[in-house]
This record gives sequence, C-alpha cells and structure tokens, in this order.
Amino acid sequence: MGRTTPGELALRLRALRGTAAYAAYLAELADIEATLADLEDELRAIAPSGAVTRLSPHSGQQLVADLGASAVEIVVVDARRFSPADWALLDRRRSALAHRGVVIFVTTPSSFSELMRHATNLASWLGDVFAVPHDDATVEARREQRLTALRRWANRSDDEIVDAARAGTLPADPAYAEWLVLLGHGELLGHGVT
Amino acid sequence: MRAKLDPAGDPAHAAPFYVDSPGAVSSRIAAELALAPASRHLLVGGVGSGKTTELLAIERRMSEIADVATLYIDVSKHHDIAKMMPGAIIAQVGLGLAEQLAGSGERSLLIQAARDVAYGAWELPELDEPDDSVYVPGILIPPEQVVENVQRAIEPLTALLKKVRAGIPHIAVMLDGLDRITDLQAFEQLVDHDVTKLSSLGIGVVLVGPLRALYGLDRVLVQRFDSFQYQPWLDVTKHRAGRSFLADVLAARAPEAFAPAAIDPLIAGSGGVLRDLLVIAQSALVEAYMDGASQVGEHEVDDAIATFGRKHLQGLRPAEIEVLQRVRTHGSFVQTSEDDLALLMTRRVLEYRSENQPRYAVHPSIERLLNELAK
Repeated sequence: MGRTTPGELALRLRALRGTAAYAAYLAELADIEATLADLEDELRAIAPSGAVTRLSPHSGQQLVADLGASAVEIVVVDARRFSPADWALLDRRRSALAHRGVVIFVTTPSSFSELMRHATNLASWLGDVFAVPHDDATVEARREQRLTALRRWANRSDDEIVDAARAGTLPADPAYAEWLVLLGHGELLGHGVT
Repeated sequence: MRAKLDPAGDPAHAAPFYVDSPGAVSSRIAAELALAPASRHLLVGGVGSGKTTELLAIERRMSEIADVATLYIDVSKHHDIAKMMPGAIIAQVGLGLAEQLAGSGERSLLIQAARDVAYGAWELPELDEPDDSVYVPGILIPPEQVVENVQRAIEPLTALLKKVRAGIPHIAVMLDGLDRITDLQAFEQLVDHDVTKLSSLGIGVVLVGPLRALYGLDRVLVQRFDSFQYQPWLDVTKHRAGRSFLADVLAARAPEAFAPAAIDPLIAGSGGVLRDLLVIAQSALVEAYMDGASQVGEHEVDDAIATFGRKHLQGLRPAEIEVLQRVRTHGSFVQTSEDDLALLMTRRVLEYRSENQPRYAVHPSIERLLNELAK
C-alpha cells in the first residue's frame, strides 16, 4: 500500500472537493487515534470552518444513519471497529452512503482487507487508499512536532530544560520527562524528574 | 471537471455525458419494451460495468415514447436488501407511483394507502372486534407472511395504476440495487412473487440482478424473463470498439484534461471496466494537481494505476494469489469454489466474452505487482 502523511492526504482530498469521493486511510490500531486527530487537523487547516466532521459509528447500520443525517462536506469515519458483517451491510446499503462531499474511512489494514473481501461494491467507489508512513523521516517529523508543542506549552527552550534537569530543578511533570526522552536525555530522568 | 469523472457520483447527473456503448443493452431493452410494454428483462453485469447508467438510459429512451410512463427505483436506497421479503418490490413500486403523483400536486387517499402499506399504519378494527385500533406493520420494515404481504402490496398499487392509466396506458419500472443481493434463493423468491405479479398487472419491468446469477442461475428463473441481458467488461486489448467507447467517455466528461499519450495507457489500465476507468482517471487528475501539471500525462496515469492496483491486491489469501498467477501466466481460470467466484465478483479476474467464448485475464492494474511477487 502506498504511504502518505496526513498533510499530503489532506491536500489530495482538497483536490477532490466538489465531487462525491470516497477514500481510505490505514493505520495500525495503536496509531489510529493520533492519525484521526492529525488528519482532522490538516483538513480543518485547508477547509472552511464547519466543513469537516468526524463520525465514530459503533456499527455499519449506525454509519448509514449518521452519514444520512450529515450535510458536512468532508466526513472522517473512524471505521476501526467495523467487522466483516458491518462491511457487508455497508455494501448492501451502498446507495444510502451516497454523500455530496468527501468521505474518508480511517481504519486498520486488517479491517480494510475485510472491506475488500466483503464490500466489493463499496470498494469500487474508493479512489485514494493510502497508509500512514512509518519511515524514519516521519518518526523524526512527529518528534519535532511534539517538541514544538512542548516548547510552546512551557515557553522554554530545549537547552533550558536540559540545564534545569541537570540542576535538579525541573518540575515533576510527565511532560518534562517526555521532553527529555525526545531530546535523547533519558539519563537525566533520575535528576528529580518523574 | 473532477466531478464529471466522479466514479461514486449519481449516474443520473452524468446523463448529459452519456455515450452509447458498443451494442448498448439499453437500446435493445428499450426496443423490446416499446414493442411489448409489459415484458420483463433481467440485466446482469459486474460491479462498475455501467448497469445503472444503462438502466437510466432505458428510462430516457422510454420517456421519448408518448404513451409510456417510467419509474426508476433503487430498491436498496432505503432498505436492507438482505431483509427484503416478497411484496417489498411491489410495495416500493406502489410507493414510487404514489410519490410521483404526490409530487405532481395530486391529493388522493391512494397515496396514503401506498405509504401505509410500505411503512405501517394504525388501522381501525372490524366492527365485531374490540374498539382499540391496531398497528399494522409496513411491508418494508418487518418481514411477515409472504402471501399476505404480496396481496397487501398489490391492493394500493392496482388502484394507483388505474389512476395513472387514465392518462398514460403503459408503465415501465427500472428496478436497481438487487445486484448487491448475495442470497440467490432470496433473489429468486422476489422474482417469483414480485416481478411476476408486476408483469401480470401489465407493468414492464427491467430488473438489475447479481452477477453471481450468471454462474448459478436456475434456468427456470431465467425463463420468467422475456430477455436476459449481460453487461460485459469491454475487452479493450482485443476490440477497437471498446477502446473507442472509453476514449469517447473521457472526451465527453473531461475534454483536454488528458494528454493524448496518456489516454491509451489509462484505458488499458482500466481493464475495460467503466468505473475503474473513472476511478483511475480521477486519481490521475489528483496526481497532476499535486505535481502542478496542467494536463494528465503518462506519469500521472502510471502512478494512479499503481495506486489502484495496490488497493486491488488487498485482502487476498495466498491461495487466491496462486490462482491469479495462473490466470496471469496461462490465462486459465476454472471457477470451482466460492473463492474463485469472489475473484470474478471483485474484478481481480476479468472475464471477457466474444462470440460466447470466454477469455480470462487478471485486472491490468495488478499484473505488474503480481509479476513482482512471482520473482
């Protein structure tokens, strides 16, 4: 499966605005929550206010009802819990999933395999299908993204945090521990940081 | 332009871009309906072969005939076809006619009667029964007694037909959505009860059925139809007409979007499947947008085909990959199991028919990937 970042996928989906387009984005179960949040953030950054929503249906039947009731243009569907029976139902009810806008199913690779087996008709509507990258560059990008957020939160620099940890004056907050680990200074965790 | 290539869009919105396919089934069925307005036709084809488009084309062709009223109904739109019982199609036809009359400003108790039968209603008891009114469930909601349902559904429909026929003598209904039914016995029951009854009421019927019917349909069932039409994949590698048709579809929907050199690879990569052509074309347009290109070239088409192919390989088991490799290298395919049938249903294996001789090939988008897997 081709891989792309949430930002790139959001750009691709922006190109599909004005159509009725269906896409899928695959991530490992442990990464789904972060992937949903990242994708939503990226889509909100490029789409008008109120144009993006997330649906987290507990079943295929609920998705039919929720999507039918939603007039929001870009719909991100948390589909990680869909079973083969859910995909089969969505296949039979495909006409009820017709949506004027872009629908993105975010799910796991194994759930997507079930989609391809049990929802042939729905699968034929899918255009873009990508997986979350897991290469070193992306891990580095995520690390830098988190460090930026931590710097903004504490209004302090990396050097100040390392110096404070060495001096034993860093507050006992898990966020500082995470910060040190991300900087590669896990050895300073014993210096009064938890 | 991207919307015109929309593979998931409502085919009704694509009507202005309709291009006649080689030997279009719509012209054959429309001609037969014009000669025999109460005839029955079964249309079968694979996912994305353009059945709905043809159904709507039949409707358009019939609407040009003065004394025929037409009705298009997607029976799966509001109901789970896995739970449909005999009577449900008749109820939907009654409902469709009732809503058409209501839409034209007609006010009639018959309209409410059709809605009540479909969705349920409170009814007053017979005179010799207790005074409490009783709730009679709708046919489209819970399954009930087959014979009773069919009879209940026929009553309002017969009355509505009388009203419609005062102005237009013939009615033809296009029934879409049953191609997604997986239970062939349930499909046969619906044909047996509903389609037969509709025909006996003088209504012309075109019914879209499941592709698996082609591989296991009871001959007796086929005989309940006046014609059995198959909407095939287009063999774009062997027949120029199929290739020209798909090129015309692209030209009608997105003229100048594709560089001339990109069109042949795009058509070849679709395997002659209309929807796959649109999916790949739309994906190639997105690639061009991401590249900042003003036109789709071969490079974008290649990327789009590769993306499509990777999706198409998902969910396959090792045994299925083995079958695909055999089809790829030898062109041989014998459908002996449900898994084999699934390869046809999911378009991993494409069956082309020429002079009733089948030819099998793997979908071109997965050919290169299968080749790499075999190394």
